[in-house]
Amino acid sequence: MNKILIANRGEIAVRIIRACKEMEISTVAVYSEVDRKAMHVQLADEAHLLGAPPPLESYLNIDKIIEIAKMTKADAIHPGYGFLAENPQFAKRCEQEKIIFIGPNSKALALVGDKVESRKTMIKAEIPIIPGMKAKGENLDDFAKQAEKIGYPVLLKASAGGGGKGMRVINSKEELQSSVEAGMREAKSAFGDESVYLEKYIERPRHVEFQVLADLHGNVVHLFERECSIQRRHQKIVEETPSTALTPELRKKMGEVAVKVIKTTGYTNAGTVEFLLDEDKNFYFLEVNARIQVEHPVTELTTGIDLVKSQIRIASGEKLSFKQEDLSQRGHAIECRIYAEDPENDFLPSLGKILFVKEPCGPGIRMDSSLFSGLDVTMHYDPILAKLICWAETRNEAINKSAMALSGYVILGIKTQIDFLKDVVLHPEFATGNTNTDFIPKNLFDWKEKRDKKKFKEMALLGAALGIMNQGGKAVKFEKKSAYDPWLSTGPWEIGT
Amino acid sequence: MEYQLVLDGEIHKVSLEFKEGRYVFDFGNKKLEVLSESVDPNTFILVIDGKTYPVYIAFDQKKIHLWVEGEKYEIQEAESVKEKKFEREGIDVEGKKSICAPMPGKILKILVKEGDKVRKNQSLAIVEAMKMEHEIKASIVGFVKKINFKEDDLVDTQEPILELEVETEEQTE
Repeated sequence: MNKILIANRGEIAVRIIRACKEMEISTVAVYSEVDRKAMHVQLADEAHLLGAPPPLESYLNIDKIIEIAKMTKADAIHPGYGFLAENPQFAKRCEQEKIIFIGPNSKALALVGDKVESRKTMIKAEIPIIPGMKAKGENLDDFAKQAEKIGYPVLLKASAGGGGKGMRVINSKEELQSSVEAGMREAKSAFGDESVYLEKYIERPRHVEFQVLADLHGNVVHLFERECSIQRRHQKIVEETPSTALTPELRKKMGEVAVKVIKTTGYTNAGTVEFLLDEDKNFYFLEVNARIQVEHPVTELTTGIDLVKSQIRIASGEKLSFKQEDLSQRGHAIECRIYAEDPENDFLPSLGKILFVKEPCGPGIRMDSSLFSGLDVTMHYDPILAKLICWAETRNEAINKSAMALSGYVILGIKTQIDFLKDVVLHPEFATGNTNTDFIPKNLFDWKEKRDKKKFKEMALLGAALGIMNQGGKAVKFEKKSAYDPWLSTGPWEIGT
Repeated sequence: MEYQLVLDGEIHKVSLEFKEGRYVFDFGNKKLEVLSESVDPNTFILVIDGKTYPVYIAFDQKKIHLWVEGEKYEIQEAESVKEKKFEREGIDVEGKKSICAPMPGKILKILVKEGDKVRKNQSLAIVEAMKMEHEIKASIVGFVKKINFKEDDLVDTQEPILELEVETEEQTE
């Protein structure tokens, strides 16, 4: 493999480009009109414009991406996560065009990507699953009947995807119609497929997933678990490994089931088998995430295996160079996801220009990021900005390191939830390892009211006065405009809008 | 030099003088002597009573953004604040209430028409940004007086999507 096109943006595109550089593989970046200055464009050996910012015209534009791959003579396409990563038509198209798709084969992708079909397969293979619909819902009556049968509360999920998009807990019949409609719209906009289905909502579970690697020669290994229970609105925000909930026996058992799931589906390349673990330590297969996961770095830091490089090696036909018994976990890793969200305004997206950024560094601190001073954060894509991953010998030290690193993370210009993340990792309940999916609603529902009062007001005022003075008396040129609209305004500094 | 700075809605008067290599700050009730080392346009180090504090600073069209010891602040000069015309949550003297989007985004759906009667918490519109949908709900009982946008329009948080007129006699709670 000599050249790889990365069909993605943001931190994951940067992550993949870095792996390619280490392997001496050339890289082709693609970008939308608002991403002209993006980090992945800066880092890649060459970069090509896809089109207008909306995903359907840019990062989901299969024809255009294939055209660029052929024009640049790329041997392979890495889809990253999101966008086309789990789109079987795209994987198939790559196969037809003789471009290697760095991900599972299109058949396995189609199977695991269809949550409804994969549930059927798992039942046959005697893999434990959550009770729920055996087919996609057709109409509202169908959903209503199924919901009655399963029993409220039920969970509405998008057939085609994950990441919380389209997902909703429905507590009663009254909520059904609006939730199903909103879920379908969200699923359509996120995955281009509006199919949704229902399953039993398990209360207070843990979300534990297993990383797997499967080569093209039938070798499958798992790289242990990731604990992803700390979520807000079904969106993971803090992940760690090892999970405090697993005993060595349970870990072994779940790992074996994960490998069985992969073998049953004929899955290849890197994947993640997601489980729900209930309070009695029963585990249920949820789905296979057929992509590199956002939270993959915690596995890399504790196993020493580079998952992106493994993906590339597997896709080029190499055999896995290690067996299950060669793998072990060392130390503890925690990932904090940095989102462009305002925790003081109900975590709504915060858009605008990043005026200044300084990211933490130090022993055992890894930043997977694509941020730089001057970057415009627009409304078009996912709010994820960066990932902070900390490794230490013990969980306690990893927690302290995460808190320290978050405390030193400076992002000015837009709001982020860094303060909130700091309060998550420093929460006494987090220290006990008592982390269920209701961690946030249970422990931090009143975060905004209860958060510590700011201590450095005087220093800030002093700094502001000093800043104005240093800028020659007047720091800010105030415009008559009443509002600052990051994409509607076309100031002289704005390029590509 | 005197500065009038607005932080969290409060005006603070700060005077600043440079004397014998030190900055003297006067907050009215308190004076501070400070050493300052400028590192780059966004970074300076303050030394107060022998303790050092790195401060990061950046400016946009409206605000001064600061980071001090892990805390973030947004400060405005008082003169720029006067321009602000309406309060987001406020109901004006004529009993009208402007409904703005809580985040910038695209209007996916407008669920009411001009003249419609609305209940408290009734959904008025759906705004989308970063693939997340957000429902905008009526915070009062009333009528839809005016709709300023249509579906697929982009909005920010300052321009009202629609205006409601209060109907006091029907107010429950």
